[in-house]
Amino acid sequence: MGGSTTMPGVVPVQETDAKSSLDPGYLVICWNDPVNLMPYVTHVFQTVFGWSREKAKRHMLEVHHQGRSVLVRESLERAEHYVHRLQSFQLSATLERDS
Amino acid sequence: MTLIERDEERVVFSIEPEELEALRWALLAFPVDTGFEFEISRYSEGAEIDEAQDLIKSARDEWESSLEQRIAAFVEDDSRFEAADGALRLALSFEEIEWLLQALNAVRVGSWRRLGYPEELPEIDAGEPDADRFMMEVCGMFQSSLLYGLNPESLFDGFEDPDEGEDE
Repeated sequence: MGGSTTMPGVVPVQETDAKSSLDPGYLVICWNDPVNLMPYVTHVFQTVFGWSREKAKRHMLEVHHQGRSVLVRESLERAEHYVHRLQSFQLSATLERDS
Repeated sequence: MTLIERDEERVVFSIEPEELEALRWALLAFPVDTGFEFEISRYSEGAEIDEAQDLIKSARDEWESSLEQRIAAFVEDDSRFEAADGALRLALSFEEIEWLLQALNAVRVGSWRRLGYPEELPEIDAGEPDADRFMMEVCGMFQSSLLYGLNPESLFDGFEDPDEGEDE
């Protein structure tokens, strides 16, 4: 075995692209700011990730005390989704490649 | 704005006419245009990051436009507010509370950006309050009331550490 065979009528999968968008290699990070209310941040984490209140609050306090919290490690596609959700709530969230 | 009751479908508040005026004023300030754009990444670079940045910006524009429409419908609908004992009664579904929180926070954060992103918020001058600083307080007050309506325990966030070792 080895190598690849292209079957008639079948479009070969772009393996590199598929891998990069599906690998859970991106961290979603929330950064501290002096403006978002602490109960609001807890609420947003619960809403976006479906977390328990305790877990959401723990991450909120981590953001507050340590300046940032890694929220999840996901594929690029999922990480984009979460960053969009968090930013639409005005939280300072980014995705970073987990190297 | 005071919590009256909450069940599985809605939360009911009592709101004074002056408060309602302030709520409408705050909501109609959405969106606060400051030219600010969120960055999608601080340290990562590459074509996929640029593409993600574009996708997120496009999704955010769509979200902003949809929220503006909801706000317009909400502030114009007087039938939502039933007169009750000199105040008004406002029943909100959980979904409505979610987008109201988003809108109010967007205005609060936008006002903060207009103030120049201060680390420490300036005191409010009672005689001649700065409009952006005052707007931040108004939005924060309504956000707190809505969060309290969803969960009264939210008042204590920031004053205690949660139990450690739970469900992560």
